[in-house]
Amino acid sequence: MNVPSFEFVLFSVIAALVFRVSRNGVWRLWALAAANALFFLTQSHGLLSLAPYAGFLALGYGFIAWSQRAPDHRKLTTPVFIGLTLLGFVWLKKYAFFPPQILISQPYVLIGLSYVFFRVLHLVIDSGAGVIEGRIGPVTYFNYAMNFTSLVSGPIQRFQDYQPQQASPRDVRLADVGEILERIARGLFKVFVLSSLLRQIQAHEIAAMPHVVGYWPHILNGCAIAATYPFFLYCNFSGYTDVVIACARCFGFVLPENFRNPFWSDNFINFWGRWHITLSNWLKTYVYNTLLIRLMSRFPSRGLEPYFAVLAFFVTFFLVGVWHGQTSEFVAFGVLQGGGVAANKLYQIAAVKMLGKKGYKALCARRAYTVLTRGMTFAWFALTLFWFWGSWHDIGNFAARFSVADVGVIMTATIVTSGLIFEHINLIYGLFSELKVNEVCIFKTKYVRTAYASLITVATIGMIFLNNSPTPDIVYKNF
Amino acid sequence: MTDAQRLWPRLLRGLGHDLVVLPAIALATVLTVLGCAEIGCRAAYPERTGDACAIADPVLGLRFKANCASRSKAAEGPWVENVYNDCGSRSATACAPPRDGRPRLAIFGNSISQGYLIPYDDSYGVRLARDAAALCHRPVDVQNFARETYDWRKTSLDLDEALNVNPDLVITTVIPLDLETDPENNPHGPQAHAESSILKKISELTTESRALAIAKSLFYKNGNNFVKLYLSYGEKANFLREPMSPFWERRLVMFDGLLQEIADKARRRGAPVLLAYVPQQAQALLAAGDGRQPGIAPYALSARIAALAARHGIYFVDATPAFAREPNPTDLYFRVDGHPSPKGQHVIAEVIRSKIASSPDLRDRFCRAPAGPSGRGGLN
Repeated sequence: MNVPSFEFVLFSVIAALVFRVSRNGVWRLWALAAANALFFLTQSHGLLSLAPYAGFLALGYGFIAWSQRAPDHRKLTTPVFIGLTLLGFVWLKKYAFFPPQILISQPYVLIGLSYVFFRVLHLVIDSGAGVIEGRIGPVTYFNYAMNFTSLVSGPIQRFQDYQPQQASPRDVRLADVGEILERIARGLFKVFVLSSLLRQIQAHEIAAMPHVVGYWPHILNGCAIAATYPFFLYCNFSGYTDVVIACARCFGFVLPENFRNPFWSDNFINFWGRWHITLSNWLKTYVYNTLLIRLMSRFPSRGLEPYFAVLAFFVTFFLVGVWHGQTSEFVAFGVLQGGGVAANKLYQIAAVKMLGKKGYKALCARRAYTVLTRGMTFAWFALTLFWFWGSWHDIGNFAARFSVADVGVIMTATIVTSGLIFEHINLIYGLFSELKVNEVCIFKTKYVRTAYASLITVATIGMIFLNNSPTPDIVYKNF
Repeated sequence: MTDAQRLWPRLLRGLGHDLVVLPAIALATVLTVLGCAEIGCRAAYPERTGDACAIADPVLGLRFKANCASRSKAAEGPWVENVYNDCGSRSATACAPPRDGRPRLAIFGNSISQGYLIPYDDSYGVRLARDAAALCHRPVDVQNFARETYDWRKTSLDLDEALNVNPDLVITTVIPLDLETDPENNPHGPQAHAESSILKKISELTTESRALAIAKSLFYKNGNNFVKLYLSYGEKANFLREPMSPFWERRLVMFDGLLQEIADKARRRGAPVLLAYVPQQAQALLAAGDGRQPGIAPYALSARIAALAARHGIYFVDATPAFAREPNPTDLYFRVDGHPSPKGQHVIAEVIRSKIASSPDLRDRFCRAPAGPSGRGGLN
């Protein structure tokens, strides 16, 4: 079963109806477990292929149960179990530094393991720290870690947010049904129409690259290749997220948001607070904060504190990059992400030193400055994504076609164009927001939203039937 | 009345309003989108089928006015100029025998041979005449007596017209549809059966929609989609299955009779006849390997027709392998209309040219300067 798909939506609705047959907590617990298990089975090709996954889950639960029974030993055992969980994850994911002889040669299920890993590790850490209240039963653990709505590519929910929802899920009212349908329509439109078209445009531009004649067409070709991928990735991943959040709402669960207008970020640190939010929040909580606190307590100095933040940012976002894949391209991607965030932080420190806090704030409030920084943020992300979607061979091909000067021109053009486009969208959005009926923006009324959802549904169905290129898979499914 | 009693009617009224209005908005939006799509498609893909030069004929059913010009267009194709000469033949030259004694091709039969909805220069007859000029080392004249409607009795009369212009070679094509549709002779054929079905009525209603036609064209671009759908047509698609159904066996018997008549007439006038088999779109795709299934035999019908043609001394060539060799066979057709596109016509021309080039006796008889009917030999 593909996620997202009409099949997945139907499965979710049926599972939610079964879940809501009774208000009894035990019924709901087991109904959800059955749905999770059933969905997971649709992703496998035999029970044996599930064994490594089951082993990983059992390892996590073993520690959680142990730490709940023997709280006195937590301090000693937690680092060991964190290490074991990490090791188990990188071993199952076959990271390149493992010799092939010690890896499992038989094919096995890996779907969503990266996201399950974050949930399990979070439970291991928090159970070790004793911050989780009450006993976690095996079925609750299974439902949390393997929640089918967010199994494939997240979002990564904290157990503390999940537990109360499982205990008393929200009622689904008629207005909620409307919102669920609207969000599903939006998500499917993003995946099946927008991301599909953007992928085709990028593939077309890459194929056209060797045949482009003339300097400016050559630069335009480079800009198109670089700039289409961030939009594609956004539509692909946020479309998926829209659908799974809507499907979870059928059960009365509220999954955390993963995106908040990321291309409107005016710096790279801010960008990572709006893009794949649950991943960056997880790493900020368990890596950034931990590292920063450790550094500050180990080297207490007011003057060094900002630079510790630079270092912590670099490590955190380096890990964000590395998490995406097992090859050296992702190490480079991690360095560029970490480097971008760290450089951004260094710039902020220098700017505050030069202009003072008020002066820097005033600078940030200037429209021209925002246009520039927004463009720079987008252009940097677009450039670093070459290591995300391309292999070294592909990057070599680009390097052979585009000189350093060409890349400079492409970046400048992308900064200026994207900054201006985002600003104009902002202005247009502002103008439309002024159109109000009874104090409500006309575009936010249920009537206009119904028309909009119907429109994009027709477009999506049309695209599914008429597009002869296969719909791109959810990119984050492979991580 | 208690508060609860007052609340329920209000709640139901509120709920009822949205339950009616919101679906109505959704439906209105969908209809508006479909309406806009229809208008847009009609503007972007105009269509003019039929032919203003065509006139009803009590004997032939349809014929073309002499010295007439008309325009037509398939939604999926280009605008086409149809010019008819002094005999009502779609030809750039007069139908009187060429003065320089150049070889003459006469084409008769179905809409494919007519070059229906195809620019004149792209029709297989004209391309073949151009290519055959290299074989014969002199220009070749072409006269086209084919018509878009196909009726086997008419085909025989078309042949008479074609033979009247003293051709050095008579060419016709056959596609499975020609064998399938003949309700007069075969009232129990699949076509007749389909007319009474509800599906046929729905199909008639939707046939007029241009947006749907364009949507279908895009859908059929994926050969697998088209093949899957076509194979579900039942009897219509049974010529692709082995053993062949009784319906198709009967049609082959009837076609055998037609070929006998064609061969006899042509023999009497001393003109060789070449029959080219043009595959149906699904057949070309299946031959290319798209959606191949057990029990499916894409070459079954053409092999049977080849045997019939050989028995009557008619030259035969099967265009199916050439269609299947093309990188994307769906591009060789107007995917919804079903007629071969200009590209498909080029392939047909090339297949016939190769057949002439590889058959020395046919080439010699065709390329030799015509010396009147008495100077010609019989069929092959």
